[in-house]
Amino acid sequence: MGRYVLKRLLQLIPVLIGVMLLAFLLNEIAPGDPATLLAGGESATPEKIAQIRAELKLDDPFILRFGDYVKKLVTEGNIGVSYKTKQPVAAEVAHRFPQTFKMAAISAILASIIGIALGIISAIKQYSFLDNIIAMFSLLGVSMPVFWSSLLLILFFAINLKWLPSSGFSTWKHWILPCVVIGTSMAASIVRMTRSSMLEVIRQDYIRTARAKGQVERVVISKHALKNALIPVVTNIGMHFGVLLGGAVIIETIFVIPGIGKYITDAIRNRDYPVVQGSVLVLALANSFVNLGVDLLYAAIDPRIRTQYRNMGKMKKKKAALPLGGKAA
Amino acid sequence: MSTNENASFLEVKNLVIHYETDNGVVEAVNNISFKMNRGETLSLVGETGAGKTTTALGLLNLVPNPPGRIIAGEILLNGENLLKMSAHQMQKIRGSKITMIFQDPMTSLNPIETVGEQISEVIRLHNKVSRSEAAQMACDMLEKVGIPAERYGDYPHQFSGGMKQRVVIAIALACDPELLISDEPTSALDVTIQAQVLDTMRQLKKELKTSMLMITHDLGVVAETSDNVAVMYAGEIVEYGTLRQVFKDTRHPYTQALFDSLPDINKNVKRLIPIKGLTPDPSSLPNYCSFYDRCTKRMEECKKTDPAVVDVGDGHLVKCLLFASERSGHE
Ligand SMILES: Nc1ncnc2c1ncn2[C@@H]1O[C@H](COP(=O)(O)OP(=O)(O)OP(=O)(O)O)[C@@H](O)[C@H]1O
Ligand code: SF4
Ligand SMILES: [Mg+2]
Repeated sequence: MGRYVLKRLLQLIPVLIGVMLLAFLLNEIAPGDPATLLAGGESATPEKIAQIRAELKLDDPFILRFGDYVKKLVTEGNIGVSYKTKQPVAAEVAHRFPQTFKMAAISAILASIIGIALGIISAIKQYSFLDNIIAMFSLLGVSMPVFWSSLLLILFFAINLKWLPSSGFSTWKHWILPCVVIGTSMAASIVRMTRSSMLEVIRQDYIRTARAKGQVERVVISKHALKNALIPVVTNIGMHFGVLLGGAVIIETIFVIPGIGKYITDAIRNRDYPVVQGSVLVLALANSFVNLGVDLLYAAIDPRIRTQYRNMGKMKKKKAALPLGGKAA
Repeated sequence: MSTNENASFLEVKNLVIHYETDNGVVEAVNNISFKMNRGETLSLVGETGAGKTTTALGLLNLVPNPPGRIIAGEILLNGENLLKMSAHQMQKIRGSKITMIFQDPMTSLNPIETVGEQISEVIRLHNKVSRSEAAQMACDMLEKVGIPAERYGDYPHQFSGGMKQRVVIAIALACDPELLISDEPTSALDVTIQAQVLDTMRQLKKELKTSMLMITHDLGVVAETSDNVAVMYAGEIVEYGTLRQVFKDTRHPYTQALFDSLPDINKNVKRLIPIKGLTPDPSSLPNYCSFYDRCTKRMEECKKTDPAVVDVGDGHLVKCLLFASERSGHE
């Protein structure tokens, strides 16, 4: 397994180079000119614009600029300096990314617990009243726009009841509303995923085998069905989490949280290319780690994948058979 | 058919099982009755869709619900009606007194638990033993079905089909069942493995003195293993008797057709070849003899009534109007 992880980490290098190249290219072909914007828009004099272009080395050939960027990245660990603020991108990302991460992690944990629990309930009580109620709420959860639910929650909990602050990020109370908003929509999708996956697994022959052994229903569900059903759910959660790490612009704007989402959108609007490139690089890295985490979680659940990884990592050593594996019944 | 009541340890009376689907009610098992004595092997034969698996699941009260439902009947094990038992009582019977080997070994094992754990789970459920004792017993079980105990910690995907079925057999036999139901345990395996697995089962069955309900398409296996034979057609038992009665003194036109469709019972081709015509749609069964459409001996009356079960001698039961006038002892 160690070999497998190492292999995956090495694979990161070409991936990141590819991501950088793409980000560079996209900026290249995107309409708009950073120099014009920095010089003060269309009314700026051509001399001023030309001077800024020279300062930012915008007239150098693409390859030269890309090479320069990669060199600085490798030698100094420098992922760029903002055109606009002249501040290093790394410092700004280091300040903002933890906020985004915190929000994504809390929301994802919240959503997973609630989503999986409700998903199991609606699967084992299929077509019951409870199942219908849960289905209704999850439909509401996925279809309600986040800005709308945010505003409703602020109105109710922050303005009417005055229980929670409406914006900011300094105390744990500040995190409740944004995480509830994000978590709800994520939970809604996890509920659906868990339900359908559970229903699929419950029909399997090995569940019948477990029942034929005389196993009690609670254990049939928790030990035999749930673990198998979680495999696709884990993917779903990982995907959501990866997207969340890219920032939640609307939420960040409404709750005034300095996250990575708003940073990038602002940078795109301002054609602040180094900021876009640097942030994209960091996000690509973060997403790669999430993917790796999901894959390792898979392996923890599913021995078939474990075998696959072991073969991929070309491990020769055969793991000794443990006579007492498994969880408590 | 109410002779010798006390002797039979399993008695199924008028069992009716339906699947209530969106496209109508599938009458999978229609009013079947049979008895088994301790240590006996009863074979249940019949074409696909006859209701064999449903009957077996009925005995364990494991008919998938929804859509399946046991509508009526009694299943008496040592005189106690299983269908009246609480969920908890039934859980104590499943896996210890009545166990089942399923049709498809590829999907019968949990893919993410070790095979050893899957065997020792059933041992722990029905015996007061510690985890390590259960593991030891599971290892013994593995050896008994011909798998080295070192493979305890392996997962199902590391096993071949035949070995998986051996694991399933180990699970089924781990708690010395009184009744072992085996649902075409070898149909998914290739021929050489089939023989080995059957041998293992037969030997263990003898060792443990278990009664067995054997569901199979393979008349060769029936001839080799069973004491009694029940022939199922469209959810009904159309002929029942000892192996000799059914094989040498075949009465029901359907059973006869089954044998006729075999090229040669002693040759290697032992699988059933479907006989002419189709089994009736189980969601709209006729109210007369369900074999009428395919029967070569059908008569006018056959379309008028549902034939009663007749004892044509020594407990040889036939559900066919041809024998309506015969009574026990006529032969
Ligand atoms: N879950 C289900 N839902 C609806 N109908 C079902 C279900 N399971 C079985 N049936 C129907 O019940 C009838 C009996 O099926 P069963 O599986 O008992 O037949 P079988 O004799 O075991 O056949 P085979 O030899 O193919 O295993 C068939 O018509 C089948 O289509
Ligand atoms: S009752 Fe009539 S139709 Fe049915 S099997 Fe007997 S002879 Fe054939
Ligand atoms: Mg079947």
